[in-house]
Amino acid sequence: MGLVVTSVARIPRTPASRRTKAWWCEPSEALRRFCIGGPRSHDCDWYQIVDAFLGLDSEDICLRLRFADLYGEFRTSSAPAFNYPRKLRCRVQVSEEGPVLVTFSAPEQVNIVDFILALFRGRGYVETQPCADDWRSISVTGEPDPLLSAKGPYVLVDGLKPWQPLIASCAINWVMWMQQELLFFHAATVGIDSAGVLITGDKGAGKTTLATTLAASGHAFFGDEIAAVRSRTLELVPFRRSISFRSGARSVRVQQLLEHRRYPAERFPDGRTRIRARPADLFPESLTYPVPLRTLIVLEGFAEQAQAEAFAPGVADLRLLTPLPCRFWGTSPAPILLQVAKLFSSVKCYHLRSGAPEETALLVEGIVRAN
Amino acid sequence: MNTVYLRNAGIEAAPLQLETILLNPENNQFCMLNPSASFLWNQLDHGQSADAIAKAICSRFSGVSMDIALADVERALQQLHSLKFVTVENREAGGEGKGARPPLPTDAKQPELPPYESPRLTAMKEDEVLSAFQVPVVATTWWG
Repeated sequence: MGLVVTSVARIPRTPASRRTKAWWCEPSEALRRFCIGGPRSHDCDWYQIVDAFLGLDSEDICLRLRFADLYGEFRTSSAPAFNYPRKLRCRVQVSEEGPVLVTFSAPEQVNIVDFILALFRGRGYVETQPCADDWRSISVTGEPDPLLSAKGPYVLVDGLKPWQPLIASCAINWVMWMQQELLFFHAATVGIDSAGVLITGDKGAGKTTLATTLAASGHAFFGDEIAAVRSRTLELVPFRRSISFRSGARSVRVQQLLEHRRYPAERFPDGRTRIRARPADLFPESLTYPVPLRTLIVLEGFAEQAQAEAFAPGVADLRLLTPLPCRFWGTSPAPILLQVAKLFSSVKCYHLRSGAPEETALLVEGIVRAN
Repeated sequence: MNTVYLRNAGIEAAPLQLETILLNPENNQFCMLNPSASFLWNQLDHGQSADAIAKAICSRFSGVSMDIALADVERALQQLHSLKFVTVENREAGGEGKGARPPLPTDAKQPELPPYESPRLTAMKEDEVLSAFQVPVVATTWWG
């Protein structure tokens, strides 16, 4: 089953100002115009994200292509069994005019408005007064019209606004949330001699540089952005989203690999350019299978020479590694933080100041092998 | 009869360097223990009296008298009991737990003992737990 994108055309929509009555004033009427549960003109793209499945069934080509670009290594040819409990199907239907309809189907439904308001706090999303009974709406602060209106599994989105990032983020966070036995962190992960290494640090601290330098030296690449750890067994599980390379330090070998093939460059809203590469294209020899987590590296800036210092973690250190917010949604944070504390007490912890990429990778290799 | 204190069997604990985190899964009560409270907690696996724990504290930490240690231990045990982290039993005198850790013999070479600080339990509510650990409130958008 491949990506079938050529048979679906994107239909131009009429701007809201030219319509007689805005869709969000009569969302039930807008919903009725869609053929809910009707036949589809394309396949559903299934992604296996650790133990859960995400089915993206989208008439919007941009969303499908972007998702395939970012999560291509999670693609699976087989859909989950009918009664598989951890799956989310996200169906996106576009209309000739008016909103886009997104239907989320999962064994356990999530209130999408509450989910967005809780997870993306600080991004300017606010709940607005609904025009219609039983519907709830979200706007971006300062904008008069809603971005979306939702009722049960149905989400009507203004197709003239950039809605895809929010819907994709909801879907990914939802499938992570449904995997309660996993802890997800903002961290890079590698396997060295079958021992898992979790590399954390602030944005720009060098997680991708270190993880890709180690992978280019023949170690297993598990991910550079999100780490997945089974909380009971402390097993590190691959989470291989496409790698986004910022400009800056990278090892000679990684640079050669990037030059070997033409990888797409993307301009980000901050004006910077990043190179996007799939791990399997960059490191085809890198085997990935779950390994026990043994070492935690906390990146703390840069030095002339790479330096590492072991530390015995205390309560105050727990904030160095906090699970992603989706894990806390609708549940008590206390058991989750206890799991994090157990993780800390079960691994060797190091503060690390990075030097040149190759030298830093050698230092980490030595640390892991000495343990 | 001796009053002995035992860990509540359902409590989950995560030992860190010197501190310990406790969780009662029944009510999601979360509690952080400082080093001396952690030491006290570790004495409770087989049941201990406040007196035996105070003695053990005096042999484990420097700068604390038996009177102060006993008063602190009783206060901490009361707190742990009220939070349902420990249970209380009355036993025949001498029936304390097998795990009682006797003070070091006087002729043994004494290592340098860490300074004593009264046992401190920090019970936290859910929102306090989140803010104490600075859990980020904004999810990544997974698009870029």
